Order: sequence, then C-alpha cells, then structure tokens
Amino acid sequence: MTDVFYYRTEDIRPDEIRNYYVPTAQDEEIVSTLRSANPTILQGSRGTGKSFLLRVAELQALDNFDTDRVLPVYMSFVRSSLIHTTDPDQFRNWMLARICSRMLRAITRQGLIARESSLVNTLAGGSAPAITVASSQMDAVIDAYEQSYRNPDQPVDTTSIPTIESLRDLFEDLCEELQIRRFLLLFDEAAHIFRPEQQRQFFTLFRDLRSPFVTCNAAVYPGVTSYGPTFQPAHDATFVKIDRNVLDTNYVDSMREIVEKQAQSNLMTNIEKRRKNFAILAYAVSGNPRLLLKTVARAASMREREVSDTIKSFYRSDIWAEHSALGETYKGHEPLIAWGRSFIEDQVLHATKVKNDQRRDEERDESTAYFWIHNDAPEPVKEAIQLLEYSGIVNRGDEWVRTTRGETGTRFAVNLGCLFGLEANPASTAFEIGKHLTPRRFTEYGANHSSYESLQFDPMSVAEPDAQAILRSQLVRSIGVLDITEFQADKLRELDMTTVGQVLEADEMKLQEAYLIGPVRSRQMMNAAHASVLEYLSG
Amino acid sequence: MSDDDATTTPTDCRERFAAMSAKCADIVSTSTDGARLAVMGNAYSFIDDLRQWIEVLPSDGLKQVLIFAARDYEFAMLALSQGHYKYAFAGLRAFIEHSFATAFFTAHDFDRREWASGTRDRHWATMTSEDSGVVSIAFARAYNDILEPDVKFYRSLALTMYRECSEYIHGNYERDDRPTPSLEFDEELFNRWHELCATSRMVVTFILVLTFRDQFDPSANESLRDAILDQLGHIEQLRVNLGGTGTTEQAQ
Repeated sequence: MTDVFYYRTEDIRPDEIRNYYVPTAQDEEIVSTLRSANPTILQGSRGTGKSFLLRVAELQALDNFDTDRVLPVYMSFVRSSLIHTTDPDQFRNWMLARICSRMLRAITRQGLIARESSLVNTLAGGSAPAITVASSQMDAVIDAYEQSYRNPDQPVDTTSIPTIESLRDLFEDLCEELQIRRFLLLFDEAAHIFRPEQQRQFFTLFRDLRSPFVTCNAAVYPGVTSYGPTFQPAHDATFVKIDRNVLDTNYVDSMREIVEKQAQSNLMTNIEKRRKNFAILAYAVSGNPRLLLKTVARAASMREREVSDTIKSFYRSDIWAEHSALGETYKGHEPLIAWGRSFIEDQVLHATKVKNDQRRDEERDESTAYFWIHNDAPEPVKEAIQLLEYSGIVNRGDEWVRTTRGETGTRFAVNLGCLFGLEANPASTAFEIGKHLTPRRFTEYGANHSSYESLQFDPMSVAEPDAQAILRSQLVRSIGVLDITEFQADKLRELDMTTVGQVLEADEMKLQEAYLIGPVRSRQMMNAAHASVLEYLSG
Repeated sequence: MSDDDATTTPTDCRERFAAMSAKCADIVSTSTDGARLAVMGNAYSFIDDLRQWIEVLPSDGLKQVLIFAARDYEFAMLALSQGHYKYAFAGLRAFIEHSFATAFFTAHDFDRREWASGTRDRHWATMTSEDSGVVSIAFARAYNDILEPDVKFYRSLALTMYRECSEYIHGNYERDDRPTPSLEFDEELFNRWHELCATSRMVVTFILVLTFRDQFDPSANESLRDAILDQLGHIEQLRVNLGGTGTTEQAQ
C-alpha cells in the first residue's frame, strides 16, 4: 500500500494540523514569536513550512483564547494573482476586503457575536441582519476581483470597503465590545515573486494597521521580497527565518518524525530498518519538509538502489525544473535565472565536490556544502543568488563572515541533495558527507570572480512584468507544470482537464462524482490540484 | 458467498461446508504457490521464535499469555491462507494484543490474575499508554534502558499498525471499487497482510526484548539471539548488547 502524503498545508484540515506538528525547539520558538505582540515576518523558501507554522500559531491561539483573549485571523493571499482590473488600487482594496471577511468569519466562528452589532453594521452599510449582509458584501467584492482575470475591463464596486483608518478603528472598537485583547493577523502568501508593487502595497498596509489592538504577521519568501519606502524592516517587524539546520544533533530525528506523522506502518518499518538510507534523504533536502515527503514517496522501500536513483533523478533535474520555469514565465529575469543555475552547477557544486573528494581520499572527517560571496560582488550576482534562495537551491547563512584575507561576505549553503546527486552511488557516500559537514570550510567567490563576467543583466532595463499577459499564458499551459503526483495528473486527464485554466475553473462536486476513489481521497486530490494551480500562478 | 453460489449450493449444510472447505483448499494452494510459499514460510517460522520466548518467560502465568498470542498468530495465518482476510487481520490484531499483554502483565500481575479469571479485560489504550504503558520511557528505564531512545518510535509504530489492522476488520479502508466480499484469493490483501505481519513481528520482538532481556543469556541461547537480531539487528546498541559489532549495519 502506498502512502499518500499531504505536501501542502492547504491540503490539511485546519483542525487536524496538530496531528502533523513536530514541536522542535526552533519551531516552538517561531510559533511563540508569531503569537507575541510584536509584528513578525517569517521567511522561508518554498516547502519549508511557513504556512504550517502560521496555522499552528492560529490553533494554539484559539486553544488559549479563553485565557489570553487573543483572536487569530489567518488569511492567504495566494489568489491575488487572479486580480486583473483597471483599478490602480485593486490590490489594496482586495486586501482590505479579505481582511474584513476573514475577521468577520473569525469572530463569528468563535461565537463572539450572537446578536447584531452596531460595529458590524458599519460594514453592512447600516442594514440588517448585519453579520450575513456584511460577510456577503465583502465576499462579493473579493469574488469580483478574483474573477476579474476573465473580464479585466469590468469595474468592481468598492463602496462597501472601509478605509485603513476606519478598519483600524473598527479593530479597536471590536476589541472593546467583545473583550478581545488584540487581533492576531496571520498573512500567508503575502508577497508574490516579481510583483514588487503589490509587495510594497502589502507592507504599507502591514505597517499602517499596526496598533495595540492588532498584531500583523506575514510569511514571505527570502530574497525576492520588496518592503517599499515606508516599511523599515529593522523597526517595523521582527524577522524570523525557518532554518532547519542539518548541523543540529536532532536534525535527522525531527525530519523522521515529520514523515512518520503521515506514514503508514510499512513505510515506518522501512525507515526504521534502513535508518542510514533515510538519513541520506533527510540530509539531502537541507531542512525542507516538502522535498523530504516527495523523495521519501519515491524511495519508499528505503533500499540503497531506490534511494540512489531518487537522489540522482530528483536533484539533478527535478529540483531545477521550478527554478528554470521562472525564467520561462518572467522573460526579463531569464538571464539571472540561467546564470544562477550555471553558477551553482558548473562552479559551486563542482568545486565543493572536489574538496569533499580530496578530504575523503585523505580520510579527513570533514565535508562542506558552503560557499561565500563577497559583499562587494555585483548586484546582479546577488540578485541571482536571491532567486536561488527563493527556489531552495541555496540557503543563506551568516552574513559579514570574514575570510582569512580579512574580507567580508555572506556564507551560503548549497542544497545537499544537489551535491549528493553528483555522486556515482549516493547511498554509499552521501551519509558521510552529511554527517561531517562543517561551515568552517567554504569556497570563496571574491568581489570580481571570473565567473561573474558571463552575467550580463541590467535591472533598470527590466520593467515590472505584464501580469495579465503572464496569467493568460500560464492558464493555457499543460497540467504537467503543476506540482501534483502522477496519479493526480492521470485522474485530471481522464476528466479532460489538461490545462491549468481548466483545473482552476473545475467544479469540485462534479469531480467528486467522477473520481473512482473514496470521497476523502477525491477531496484531497481536488484541493491539491487547486492549491498547485494557485501556487503556480503566484510564482 | 455470492448469490450465484447460493443458487447452486447443496441443501445439506454438511455438504455446504464441505464445498466451502474445498474452495478454501484451493485458496491455500494459491496462497502457497510459487514465491508466496517462501513468504508464508518466513512468516510461519516466527512461531518458532515465539516458542523460544515462551521458554524463557519467568512464570507460567506469563507463558500462558504468550501461548495465546502464538495461537492467534497461527490462526491468523490459517485464515489468510484460506482467504478469510477479515479474520486474518483480526487474528493478527489479537496476536499483537496478547503479546503486549505479556509484557504488561509482567508489571501488573494482579491485572493478569483478574484477566485470567475473566473479571478484567485487557485494554489496548492502557497497555500502550505514553506515561506508563509497555512502550513508555518509564517502562524502558525500568526494564531495559538501552532501548529507551527507541520506545517513542515503536509506540508510534504499534499504534499505527494496530489502527491499520482495525481498518481492515471494520471495513474503513478506502476501496470504493472493491467487489462484494466473497471467498477467493486476493493478491492485494494477501500482500498487505504480510506487510503488517512483518511489522508486527518487529514490534512484538521489540516489546519482548524490552521486557525480558534479563531472562536469558545470549551467548547460551544463540537461537533466540539470532531470532532477535533478525528482527532488530538494525538497532546498534541492542546489537552490541547481544554480543554483536558496533559498526553501522542496516538491511539493504
């Protein structure tokens, strides 16, 4: 029997999140920070668990609401990529409507409003019954914006949307009336890649909402997020990074626990009997749970041959597919994306492997996956590295690291799986590399390294992408670009859903009738397909 | 049996049962055909391992409980070989319960006496309690602390495995396109049962080693030692404790 994993937090019912949570010391600290009164920006590459930790924070806040009176409001902005009107304030209006809608839902679900509230009447424009009218008004606005990609010229009625100032006042008044200490807003998918104007609008809103009655937290991708002129990262939020460090003593055990939360007994048995092979897969993902679940699913027997084959196929090509796909979608950044891949594959991985091979021949228990970039390296180089961070190909380490020559720069770690993929038989050699990693050894790339010369990129020449054109081109692409299993893809094809757009517009009820599997599995598959579409469209 | 069978069956119940028995015999042949014979043989050999454990147990009371477990295991295999899959999973689950009870009653002799007299049921939840059950840290520290780092995993595995067996007994597994149950060989269920059986052998061996390690000398009982290492040789500290090497070994 094969295991069916939840790869995305969106596939898990919110009330079941606790069943899959592995409370490592670092994750507990992150959740505690998210629940605190200080605004927090949570940074992490794709699949590292940002959404999951936001949901854990939400659950814990709900569990403690009676004592703490802190009401969490979780909302995802993943659907913002569908907004295409002529309204210059479309994104801000949509955000305000989303916040109102989710806030109303949160206070209603908590049973805090059992009668009409004069405050909620404000949102309903003075008519009753307040709750349902207010909710439906906001939802109508949201829906209109999210369907706007079909008819971009159709205006959206925004008269019911409050201003930021009145929304901030509303939060205060609701706190007083409902005896809430403060609202804890948890923004997910807040800053989509290559949409700097949207990012700037979001962080302006993030900053403007701040008050004793509202704490804002957001999950963002590293390296590709613009904060705008009014938001000052050092002052306006605490920055927390998800960093499941492979050097931690408990790293393999905690990654194993993540898998076991979802595994059937036969997989658990295979992992137990072939601990070393599992450890190799755990090291390879460099702290990314989604990658671990995917690679474990491919190598479920945990046998050497299967583990080696999985590492080679996944880390030599599959992991690069998403990164390279960015260049196909965002043509203006294609030189950066292509150069970044070339730099890692031809320079960094090659140099790192040579070092590790040499140390192995010398029987020294030391290995590396680290490289260092001078602080004065050209900006396009840094930007290319940032895009690699977004894709999870590299992890940013310590900044202001001084070399033996006294120069300063940033240390990065390349994804270990990419390194293992170069081995002839990863199952035989990778474990020792992972086990003996040391950040003291790294390859240095100075301010004017020769490998930078091939990067010809002028950021000023790249306009903000035409989002509408990009969305149109994405909707007609084959479902092969989606991050779903082969089984799910086959089922979609059986139902004549072969493009991204068709999946986006699919009617869920119809699909549930059509699938020849149980209702639980079919719902999971449809959610996964939808989530993968929105993830793809958001970059 | 299907409706078709009912229209053609003999009216005398003796003949009816004889006809079903003949069909069962056919299924036994299929279950032990080709490569499946080795699979069945490997699983069946575990009964010998259980006999060895029975011999080292310190009291007749505990021996009796493990004898029940061995009978459950054998019955489960019989049911599997004949195509009675639901009862094969039920027998496997009963085997797990009786095995855990053997360990549990070691620390709770009063409970064992009441259970033996029919005045108390054994409870799976009690036996697997995280605080005081046979796969708890406290139990490991008391009986065999070299396995303390592993109890959390084996508890999780035991609970998962037990739940999966139960799903096959209660019919909760998600198979919308399964045909109406009838007496015939089912390759998927056959394989799935053996997967769970293999896991149960590993878990039960762990429980028995955890509880009764001090009841035997591995150098004087090489057969039992080999049986343990066959299931748990991947646990380095146990391997060393039983006189093996400390190098990192694992099943390929």
